[in-house]
Amino acid sequence: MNQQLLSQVMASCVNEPDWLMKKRQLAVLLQKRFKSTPAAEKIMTAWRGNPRLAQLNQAAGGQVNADQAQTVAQNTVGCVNLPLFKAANEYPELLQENLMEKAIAWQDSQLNAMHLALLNGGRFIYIPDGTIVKEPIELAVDCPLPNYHNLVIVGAGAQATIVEHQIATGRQPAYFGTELLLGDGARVDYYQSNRFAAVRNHQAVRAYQAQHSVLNMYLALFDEHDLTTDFYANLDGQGGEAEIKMVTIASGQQIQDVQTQILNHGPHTIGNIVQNGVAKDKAVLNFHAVGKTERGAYGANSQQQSRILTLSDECKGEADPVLLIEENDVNAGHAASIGKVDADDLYYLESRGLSEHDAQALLTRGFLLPVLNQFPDQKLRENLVDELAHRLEEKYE
Amino acid sequence: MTLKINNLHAIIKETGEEILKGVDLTVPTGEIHAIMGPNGTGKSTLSETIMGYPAYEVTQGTVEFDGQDVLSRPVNERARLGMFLGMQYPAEIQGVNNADFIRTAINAQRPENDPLPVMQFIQRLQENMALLEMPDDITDRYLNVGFSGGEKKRNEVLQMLMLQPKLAILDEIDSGLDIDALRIVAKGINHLRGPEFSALLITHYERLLEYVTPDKIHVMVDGQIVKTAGPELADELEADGYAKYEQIRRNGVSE
Repeated sequence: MNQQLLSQVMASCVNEPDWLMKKRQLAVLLQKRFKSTPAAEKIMTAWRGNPRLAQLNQAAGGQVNADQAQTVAQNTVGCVNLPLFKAANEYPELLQENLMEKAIAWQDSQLNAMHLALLNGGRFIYIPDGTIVKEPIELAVDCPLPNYHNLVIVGAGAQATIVEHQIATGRQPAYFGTELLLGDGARVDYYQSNRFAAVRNHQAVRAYQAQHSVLNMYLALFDEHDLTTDFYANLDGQGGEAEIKMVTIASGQQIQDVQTQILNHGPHTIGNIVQNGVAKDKAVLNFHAVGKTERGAYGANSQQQSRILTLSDECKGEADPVLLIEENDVNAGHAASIGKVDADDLYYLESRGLSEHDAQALLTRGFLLPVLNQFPDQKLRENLVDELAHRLEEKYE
Repeated sequence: MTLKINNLHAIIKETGEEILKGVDLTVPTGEIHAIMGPNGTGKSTLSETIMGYPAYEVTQGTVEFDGQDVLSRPVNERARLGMFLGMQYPAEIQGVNNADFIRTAINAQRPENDPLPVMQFIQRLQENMALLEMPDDITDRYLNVGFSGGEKKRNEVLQMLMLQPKLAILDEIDSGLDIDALRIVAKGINHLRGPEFSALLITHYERLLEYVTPDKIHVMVDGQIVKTAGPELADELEADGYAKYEQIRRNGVSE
């Protein structure tokens, strides 16, 4: 099986630089050594059954390949914005050193290794030191192929806003990966609201942050298929700050398994996770949040808050907050709650004439809006509020 | 649009304890009545039972408003009959904008195809906020979240002015208010006073009644109305307290 996959991967790599070909071959050969999970196993089984390796300049038979599917005209002066495989040839040093190494490490899990081996495309964004990109950089793609990967490098003192709105249109489980590498003092606002077509999918957003860099991640998980996630910020340098704000909805028989982690490695780093999720129908929503403060990260601050609202008796929510603290001089805290709509709140709204249904809808929106309202981009916020209203009104049969 | 309560008994569902023990009360259209009484006699339970708070269960008796049976209706339909309850402890609701909520509530009580035009809504909102001397930003904030005690009470009165109910039950709308806030809240109530509006004020103290003169005052003790009289009763209660009526209730006689 591995041998067959290896030859398929090799055949697809012919236009790639040597280092990338070797790296992907290695990923095929070594993948079984890395840890896996039952959910990842299901995704990989589907991939192995039908590995789809189309990529840049190799699309055939009307197949739109992932790179060519990029449609948004970019107006981003001062930065590099290229299809990933093209960038592998044009910026070999930057990619060789960074692609699936520092943020989403390919040896981290079998799923990551397989993602690298079966890579279909993605974008490479490079913002040189000191460059301030005012227009939001859009990562928008209708992607029929499963493995799509963005590498974003933001140089020292550079600033950018990145808006990721990717749509996986294929029936195979998709893995959307985005790596954010922030240099000294870089500032990034990153938004994500992705959609999928397959029954189960995975998305990873991992950041590596040098000293005094600031990252705000705003995540909306409004897709209705099974999803596992890996959101992670590594505050490596001192004084770095990462804030992850998330809203999610799980409905129908959907399973959302959300892993969120901030690692305070450098001293005086600040990590904050805020996630509010709604579970309805027979859905399962799990929040696993980890704030880890390593020895030597003195003066660090690690906070997290997970809240789940359950709208039916059949849905399940689980919040699993973890603080791992190896340093004495830190400020850390967590809060978690799971519960139904408050009966007194419901009564208050009904006493003003709202039907139970409308009162419940208003309270549910109200549960997510305080987090959603912190997304600074107004247009995006309005779109998300519309999407939210739509998801809440959906009837599950 | 008379409120007519007949031999109303209610218990706390969870414990089975009876709180209302046969309340008889009529509030005719156009009148303002006050219910006074010592702590823990069931005044708030009465108001919550009329509105349909789910923690209480009616075991006996009837409540009619405008000739319609109230107790068989869900909470929101009671509101749609034109009843309003200004609550003692209004809920704080995150993520629900105050103005959006008030507009949703107004439209919930109107036919679906006839919502209040936005400009009219804004105009009415501004007029009523000016009347209640409320700061502009209060309607942009989340419903009652982080409001002071006085702001919450004013916000209840604001909702009442916006919803224009036929009957307002105001449960200790005066508690925790300083004298200026009390005067403003009273102004809001008096603003609605008229032949089509009735109100039931629930209060411990006669202070509110100096600003809103009631047509009738009822004294409630241990789950029953034991005395009904004109506004002059407030002065007597202020001077002598409730001891006399507690005694009457113990002796099983009502005046």
